Amino acid sequence: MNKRLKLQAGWVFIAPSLFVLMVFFFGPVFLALIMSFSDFDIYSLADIDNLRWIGLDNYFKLVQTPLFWKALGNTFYLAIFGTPLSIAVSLGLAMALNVKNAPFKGFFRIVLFTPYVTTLVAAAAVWHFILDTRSGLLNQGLRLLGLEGLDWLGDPHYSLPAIILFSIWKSFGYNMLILLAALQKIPDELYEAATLDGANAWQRLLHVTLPGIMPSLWMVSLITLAGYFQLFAEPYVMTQGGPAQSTLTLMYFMYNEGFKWWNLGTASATAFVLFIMLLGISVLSPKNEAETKP
Amino acid sequence: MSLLMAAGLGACFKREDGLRIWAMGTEGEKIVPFINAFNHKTTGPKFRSQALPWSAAHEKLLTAFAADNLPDVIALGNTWVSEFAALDALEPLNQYGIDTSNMFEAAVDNATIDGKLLGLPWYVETRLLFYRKDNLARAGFQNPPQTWAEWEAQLAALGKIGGNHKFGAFMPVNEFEPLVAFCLQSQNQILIDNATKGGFQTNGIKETFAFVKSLYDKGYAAILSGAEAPDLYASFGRGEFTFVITGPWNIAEMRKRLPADAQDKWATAPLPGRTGLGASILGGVSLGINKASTQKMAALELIKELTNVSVQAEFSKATADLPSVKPAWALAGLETDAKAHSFYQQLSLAKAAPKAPEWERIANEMAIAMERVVRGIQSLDVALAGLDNFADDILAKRRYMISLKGNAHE
Amino acid sequence: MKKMQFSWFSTAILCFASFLALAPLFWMVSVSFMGPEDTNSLTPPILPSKVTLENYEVLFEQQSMGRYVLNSLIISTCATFLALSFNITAGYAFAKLRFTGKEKLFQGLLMALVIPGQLSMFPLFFMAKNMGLLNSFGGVLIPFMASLFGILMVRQYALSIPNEMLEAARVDGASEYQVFWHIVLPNLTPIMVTLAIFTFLGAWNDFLWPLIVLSDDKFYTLPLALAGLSREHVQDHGLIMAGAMVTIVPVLLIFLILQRQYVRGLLAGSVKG
Repeated sequence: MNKRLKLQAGWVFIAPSLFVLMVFFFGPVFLALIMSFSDFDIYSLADIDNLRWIGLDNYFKLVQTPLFWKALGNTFYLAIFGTPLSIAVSLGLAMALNVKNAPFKGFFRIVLFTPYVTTLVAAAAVWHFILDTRSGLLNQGLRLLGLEGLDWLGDPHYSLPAIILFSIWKSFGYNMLILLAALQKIPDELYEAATLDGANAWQRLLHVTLPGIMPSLWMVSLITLAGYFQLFAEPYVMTQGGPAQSTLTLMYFMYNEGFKWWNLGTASATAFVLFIMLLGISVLSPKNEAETKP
Repeated sequence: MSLLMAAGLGACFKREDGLRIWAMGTEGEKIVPFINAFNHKTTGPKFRSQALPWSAAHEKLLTAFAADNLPDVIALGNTWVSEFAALDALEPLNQYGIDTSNMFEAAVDNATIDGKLLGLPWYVETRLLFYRKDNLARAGFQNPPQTWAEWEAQLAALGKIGGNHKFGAFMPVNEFEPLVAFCLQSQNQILIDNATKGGFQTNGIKETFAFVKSLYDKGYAAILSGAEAPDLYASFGRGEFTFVITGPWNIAEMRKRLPADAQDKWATAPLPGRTGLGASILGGVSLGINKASTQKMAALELIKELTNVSVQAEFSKATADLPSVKPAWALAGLETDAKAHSFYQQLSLAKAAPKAPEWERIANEMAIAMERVVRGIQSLDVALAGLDNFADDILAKRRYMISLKGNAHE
Repeated sequence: MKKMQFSWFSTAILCFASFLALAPLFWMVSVSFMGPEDTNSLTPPILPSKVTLENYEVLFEQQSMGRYVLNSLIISTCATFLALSFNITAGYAFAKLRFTGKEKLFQGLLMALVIPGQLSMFPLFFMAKNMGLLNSFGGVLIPFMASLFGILMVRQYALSIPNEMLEAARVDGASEYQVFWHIVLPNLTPIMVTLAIFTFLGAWNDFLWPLIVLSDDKFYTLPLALAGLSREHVQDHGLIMAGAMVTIVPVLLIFLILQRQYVRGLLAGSVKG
């Protein structure tokens, strides 16, 4: 009798959110898959009877679209260069915060986390000005140091690095906090033992620190990587995908196909390609962890 | 329970009842007093206007169409009319007996698809040369160029005095209008076969691309994209460049933003062509009525108001846009304005862009291709072949629809 | 001795990093109070030559910023309310209640974490259209009703409620609903605060979905308004910085006041090893 009651209660408790998830999340995802097998475009928008089913054609056409590869390439560039840099910065600062007897730790922690909290669109608008070739803060600073200012957002060679620079500034705080918590869990005795064995700072880093935080390190790396794959707001606000589409990311490409040109068939196909790649990344994650990403 | 709340909240904040008109750019802001005046006069329902930034207008309009949320009166860029015709979003106006005889014929033609008048031309524009007379004089020329060859000679001479992109032409690579304008001057069409295939590898178009490319290669125009170009007005005011190809709104903007001592130093002129003054792209905005509007008569009254001669003249004075109604030019004092006169000339030489719904995408791609060529990422031949492929590909559905329906979507 | 030196070195790094972290924000504040003489000059100064409020005046008088602030407030508050309503019960259920299929269901939800939200965008758009929720706050709020992340966060925290407390209540004859209302809910208050903060900030900062759903600028949220401002008034740096200020300051305030709860949520379930 009791057991049955518990059964019902459990389902009642999860029913609302489960219903919402089914209807507003899983349902649309499934529909998106279906859509990717059609040639939905503005003619279909006018009259749904103009829709044709084309199977995997969207996917075939996608791989033949140069702009798709350009966007993919840009996204890979961001992911490959941005992720290690981002992690290095976060780890370095986490280690600096972890040092014993360091003064004002609480203060630094808050200050360093501030960029992460700011609204992305607002921060991108601010950085758009900072990266301004003529009057931006960054180039002014460079000129003070005797270097020449660079055309950050106007030169296709510097536009992606500029986005990476901004992205690191924006998000290093999050990884830093997680890595800090992980670092704090490493017992002091391990360090003392290593020192007694004659290890220097570098060896302590390699053999005590890194192994100690490996699960968290791995996790934040994957989250950061996945984040770079989904980059959209930064180029949308700062460069509109330019110059010469050097900052067109996969998400931006998908947005353009979908909401600018209304080629929903192509856009859905792109979304699924993105999904497959993220799936691939997640396969690399350690099992049995409840990964949380905000 | 919470679902109900959400739906309730949603209903609370739905779109209002009340008529809407959307307009782009500064016109969207400047139209407000005219709407207010109309609201004051009319006994029918009142209108509210919303301004859309040009950079996002096209996507917002399409999204609104998809959401069944287009406003009652829609200001449409002339190149978008055929697209919205294909969407069957516009109310045909032929039945309402509107007299369009005093409007520029090319503009009326632009808004007529398959014999149906789908919009009233609101204001027209075209692109032509704005230039610094004093720079030209310094280089030894008293008159603006009438042919490509003359223009190149002038740019070369200016380059010698200025050096390093100074004194040349301001042509951001991400704007397709100048490029398209020059292409329209050619004997060959940009899109062939009733706008169902690309014509980019025909001689005329190829030569045009090569000509524009040479302006960048020879340093007459700096390779910039609009977003991070230096302030156009400050630069032009300082005489840092000599030519810019832009539209009529800049007559007022230049007058407003240029320093006083620069005001008599600039002028306008029609575009040079190969053998004499050339065509340009007919642009502008037409006002259409949403086919799904529940207040079509009120919408009709508004667009008739906005196209009557005196309102056209007033609006022109407020925005420096060129009236689509010819008698309004005199009323607005444009007949005597030398700077506006070039536009009247150009408008009689202007040509409409290809009337395919996909045109906007192709035009965008033209600019993108030119940017790649000019930055050395691709050769011209490869880029032109690429454009043909792009156009053929994009127009595939249009070819299919035409073969289905058996008649031209124009 | 070695540790002391290290401390100076690391403190120097932290100072430098803090400077880099804050400099852009400081610049934003400064420029927002600058007039066009400063912002249009070839090298704008670090501090305004003359502090002026005109950017804020233009923002609120001509650009209707006040309305956008209100919109953002309404949406964020409603989203928070929705998230709390839907996710608390589910999180608790997955933590403490037994029911058929619980394990499988939970595993399924975990795997679904990988699915990017953008995948559902297009069909959801048409769904919202058919429900009449496009171009309204309701449409914007849809994604906030239930989130996998929220459920997981609540579950993680709810796991720590001692079973004995629950059992004692059940033995006393309380129904599951009474147990939840009287015992569990008060104990979940800390994580509810955290969830509320996350949802509020997430809704405030949300960009892509509102961009798609809202066509009337009457309904715009701050990020949308700012993006439009930034693309249309590209040269008006002071105005854009002022807009950025208005968007960011509330977020920063919430964070500063409630940082403990915020950080707790971040670290919940993320730290291993």
